[in-house]
Amino acid sequence: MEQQVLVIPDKMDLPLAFDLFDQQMESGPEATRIYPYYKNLAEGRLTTTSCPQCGRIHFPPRVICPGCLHDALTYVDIQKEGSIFAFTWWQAGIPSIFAGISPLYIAIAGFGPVKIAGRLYGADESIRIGDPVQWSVEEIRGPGEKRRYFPCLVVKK
Amino acid sequence: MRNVAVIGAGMTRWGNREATWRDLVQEAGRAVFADVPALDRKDIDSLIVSAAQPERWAYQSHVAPLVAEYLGIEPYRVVARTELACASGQAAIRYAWLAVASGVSEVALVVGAEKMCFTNMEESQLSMIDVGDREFDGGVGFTAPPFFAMVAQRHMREYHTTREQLAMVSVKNHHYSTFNPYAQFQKPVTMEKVLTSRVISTPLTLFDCSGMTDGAAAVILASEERARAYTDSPMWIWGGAQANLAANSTSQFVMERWPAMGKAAEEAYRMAGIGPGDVDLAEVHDCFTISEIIEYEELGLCRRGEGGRFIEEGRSKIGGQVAVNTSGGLLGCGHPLGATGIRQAWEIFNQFRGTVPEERRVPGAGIGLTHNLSGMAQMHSIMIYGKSPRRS
Repeated sequence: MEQQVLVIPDKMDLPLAFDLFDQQMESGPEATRIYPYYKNLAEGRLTTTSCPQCGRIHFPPRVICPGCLHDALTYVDIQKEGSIFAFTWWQAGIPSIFAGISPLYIAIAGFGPVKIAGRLYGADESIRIGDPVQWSVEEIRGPGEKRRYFPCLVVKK
Repeated sequence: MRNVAVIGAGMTRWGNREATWRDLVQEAGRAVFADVPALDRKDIDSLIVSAAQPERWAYQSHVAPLVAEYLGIEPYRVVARTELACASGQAAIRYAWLAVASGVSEVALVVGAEKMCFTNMEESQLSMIDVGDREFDGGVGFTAPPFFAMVAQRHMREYHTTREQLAMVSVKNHHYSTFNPYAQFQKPVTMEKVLTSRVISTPLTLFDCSGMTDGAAAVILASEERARAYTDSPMWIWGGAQANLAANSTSQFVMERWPAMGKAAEEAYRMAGIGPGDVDLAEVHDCFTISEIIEYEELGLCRRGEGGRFIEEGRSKIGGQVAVNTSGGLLGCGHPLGATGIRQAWEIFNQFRGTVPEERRVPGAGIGLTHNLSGMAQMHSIMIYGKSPRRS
């Protein structure tokens, strides 16, 4: 008797479940209403939302003000200079998506009214809380020709 | 609100199990039913299931009906699944408590389960990113170890807490878990082993961190009227509270203190009519050694910044000021997210009954507390239990 067979594919395109970054699209089903944040990042600007009604500045950027619920928020630039609030050197159990980065330092740094978390470039074991850093923009390449952007931190020498 | 009792508890062996999510549920169900032989399963009118990410780890959503079918029960009053990351289990107990306290339910089953171990742990670890703010912290790579590593760093800087004091938490909890046959880890560890083991994220080493674990646990709640028909040694729910700190890592303007936890503790004590000095034993959320140290402080067991000294002076051991994590905690038992909060209730319940191994028994225990944080210490949840009904 003939054997019935179902073949399961052994490769597929990167499922969104494992693609750690937002799709950063302006339109379509995967669009995000904070697209201006990502567009500004692509242009080298780190910005976030501010509420024209109550004056609050929020990070991460958002669509409604959690303070007064106003829904027409504006984007403001974040100051370039900051200082380290906390950091760690991650050495084991790192998701393979970050495997190419060594050593892997992660930090949270204060930039005036907001704090930014990001991979910290240019650090070594002499790094300390309070050290000066600047924010920068990391280009996320892939899958394929896709280009996306994410904030990162750079040690200021 | 009427008084609500825990009338039975059961759990599976925890660890890297050769069992699926639904296998673990069946083991826990069988264990809790065996704990209450006087209960007819037909009397269970409500079911709350706790699982943090069955969609990612068991590829199964809508788990409550599955649990009802596999455990042979037909609830008809309150049924739901709770998710609150690491506090999912306590959330399930809370909803069952409120369902019974309100008068809507008479007997409610609470089952928590998580399956986290796989041949390809990569996928499992990636799913842990989802308990944090995926869009803004996920891309940074924030899973719990680097986040709590930063918390430890700031606590050590601010309060001169030492790595040795952190390690003492691991030594204590691994000591107790050697006397817990359900625990994932049943071997003691020395201070030296903790300090010299592999660095995960500075300053935390392997033994400063809780593991990825498969496990399930269950409890049954009943109204005061019905409880005494089922058991001579019910445990009573005295109250509880929860408070939110933040979702995004950068929204926490102070990392070395958890003001939301202090707030939840204050509210829980107020509801229960007690103070920190009345607590005999506590199951707290030692996902990392630093967590237990901060938890002593936020629960008001010691002053701000003195958590390191608290454990160093032996005050969190049996025979000290408050017996903390006599089960072995998360460090010793492991941490299947959906089941942990229920396992903590299991421990207090069995401590009150005197049915835990003598080496980890708390003599004369009458008031217990359980605490869970969720994710990156984003939310804090606390429940208070008593050996007798709450004094009004």
